[in-house]
Amino acid sequence: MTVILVSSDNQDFKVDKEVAERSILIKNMLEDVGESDSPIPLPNVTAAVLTKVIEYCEHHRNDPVQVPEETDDPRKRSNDIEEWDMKFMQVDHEIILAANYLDIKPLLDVGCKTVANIIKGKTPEEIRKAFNIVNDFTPEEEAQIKKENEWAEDR
Amino acid sequence: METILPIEVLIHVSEYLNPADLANACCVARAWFIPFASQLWRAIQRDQFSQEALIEALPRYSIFVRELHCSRFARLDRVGPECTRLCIIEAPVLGPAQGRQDGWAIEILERNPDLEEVSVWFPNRVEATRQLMRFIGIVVRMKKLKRLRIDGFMAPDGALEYLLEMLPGLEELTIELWQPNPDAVLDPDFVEWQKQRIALEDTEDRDDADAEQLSTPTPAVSAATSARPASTSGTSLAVTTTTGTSASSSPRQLRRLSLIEIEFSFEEFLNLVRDYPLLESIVLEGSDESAHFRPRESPNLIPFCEQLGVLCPRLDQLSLKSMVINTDGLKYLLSAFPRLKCLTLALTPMCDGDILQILLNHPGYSSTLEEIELTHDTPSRPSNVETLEVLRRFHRLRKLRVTYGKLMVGPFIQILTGSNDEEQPQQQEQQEQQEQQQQQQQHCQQQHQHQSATTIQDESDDLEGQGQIYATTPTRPGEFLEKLDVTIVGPSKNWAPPECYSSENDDGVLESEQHHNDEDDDVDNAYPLYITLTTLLREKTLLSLDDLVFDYIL
Repeated sequence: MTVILVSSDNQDFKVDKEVAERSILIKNMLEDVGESDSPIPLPNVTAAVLTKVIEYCEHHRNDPVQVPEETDDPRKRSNDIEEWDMKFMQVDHEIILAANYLDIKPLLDVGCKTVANIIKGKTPEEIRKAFNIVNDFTPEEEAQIKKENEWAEDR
Repeated sequence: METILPIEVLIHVSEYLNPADLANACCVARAWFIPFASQLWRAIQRDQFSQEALIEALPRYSIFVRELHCSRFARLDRVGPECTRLCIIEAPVLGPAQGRQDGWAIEILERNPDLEEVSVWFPNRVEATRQLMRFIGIVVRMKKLKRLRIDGFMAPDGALEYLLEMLPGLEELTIELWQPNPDAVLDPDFVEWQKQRIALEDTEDRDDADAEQLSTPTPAVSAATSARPASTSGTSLAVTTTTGTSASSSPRQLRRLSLIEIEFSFEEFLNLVRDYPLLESIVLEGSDESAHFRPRESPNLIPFCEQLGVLCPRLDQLSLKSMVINTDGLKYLLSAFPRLKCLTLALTPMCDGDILQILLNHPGYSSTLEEIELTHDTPSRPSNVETLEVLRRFHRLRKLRVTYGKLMVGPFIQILTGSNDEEQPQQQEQQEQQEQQQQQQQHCQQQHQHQSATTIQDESDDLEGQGQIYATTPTRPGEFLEKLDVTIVGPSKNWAPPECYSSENDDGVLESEQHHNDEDDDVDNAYPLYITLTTLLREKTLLSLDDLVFDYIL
């Protein structure tokens, strides 16, 4: 059984229902609508990004559904990204946004781990450069925040 | 290309970062401050509290704090009341801060009714007199509270009962330095509770037509030294037959009770535990004045132990430190722990060998005991035979610590390989010896004790039964052993590599050992006993070899 997804720029994507349901958003929508052939509009996702997301879901279609793991360690690990996922993520952050919107937890996890790995070991200035972020703190504010959180740096 | 990551995604990212990276990330831009700073300040641990910068900044960031583990920190009053949830407070400064009616800690506690764990230290009587009942008044409204520790419990009569009755969900309670304090400033709720309690007791007493009790208006548990009823021995065990006022509600959840440096009598202790049928663990740290566990000197000990076992049938963990107790006392006390899992004894005037012998003689312990820790500061008679036997018999042991015990490498290897066919007669012999010893002991006991030694009498019958369990249970010695704090002794100086003897560089030992195993076959020939032992330990136990202590016979 297939479903039709419509991207924000009005392109249709025909996808196996099983694949599409990797997105909890789409799964819930399909359940709400019931048996219906009507296409599902995804106004927050462009065709370029949706192509990538579908590629991800196809690749992981047989993965077991993730159960939230309870660990004592509050800090999660980010060094366990699959090689295929690693290459896949080297695009841009729009995929993370799409994963967030479509509620595809494993894809969001991989995306956030990738971002975390970019942040690791960098100074604030290097982070801004890596993410193309403008510093909107005043120098005084930045100095204060730096001072207040310095205690964490040798840990 | 710039993409703005929304805050929920950044929060998700923050969960993968360590404190140093979080500190950098929160400086990046305004949009990044809250997600990363909130993760960084989420849980403040004890050791982080030594850092001045953190303490300075805490009031500004305390809105993010969900868990605060702080030690006895003199300036906790700097923590802002905007904290949403604290895990532990050990605060000497509960009293009013400058220019405010209450201390910060009191305000923080009041704003956090969902706390699950609270620990407070009242350093002196003045502080306790002023703040303790106020503190208890706040704590009793924390319905999610699971663990509570109060150090310096200088409270008026009935305060502990009040606390426990109001917190039926409490699982762990530690009370340190319990002293009666009639001067304490009372909380109105407590006064009201006390009134009701007295009224209730009065009616009960009238029903019982027990005129004597009318004259004592204090609640049943009276704190230590305050005038005890004159008829101590007579009333001591009547306690258990009177039903608690809250008996109708579901059982209170208390699992672990620790009393540290507290004076108590047996009947006071029974009064305290009678409402806790789920109690599993008792920790007692003594003071000179506390109850004695020496049968000859404490005539109430035997009935006390029997009652304890009846009131709290789930007891399986016992820890005693600096208690006045002798081996007979311990034996009786353990009769209240038929399925003993953990035993910790520190600084008690008993010999390790005798303690282990008691455990070995106790029916059923071979299938329950998981942890034995015996610590002394003065040398006692070596307990080599008993230590070995404990390892042979208690297959479920995870931790064994016997300060003055020694394991001879030969017999230890035999136990591990299970090749104790030759050992069998010896073992039986030993068992017989034990039985004899025990019977002798029983005779002695019976001479100066009541007939209540029934539990002990069962033991000799059960020894064979125990043997059966031993034979049929598909476990083997050392199977679950994780920690072995007993010196392993070899026959001569060169039974093991010399670096094993120096306890200073454990790392070096491990390193060279691995080195030998990987590359140097000569070691096998040079230290056959050592190699056999370490190989066996690696295969048959869960021990980490670098924690072991080795020695040799001079």
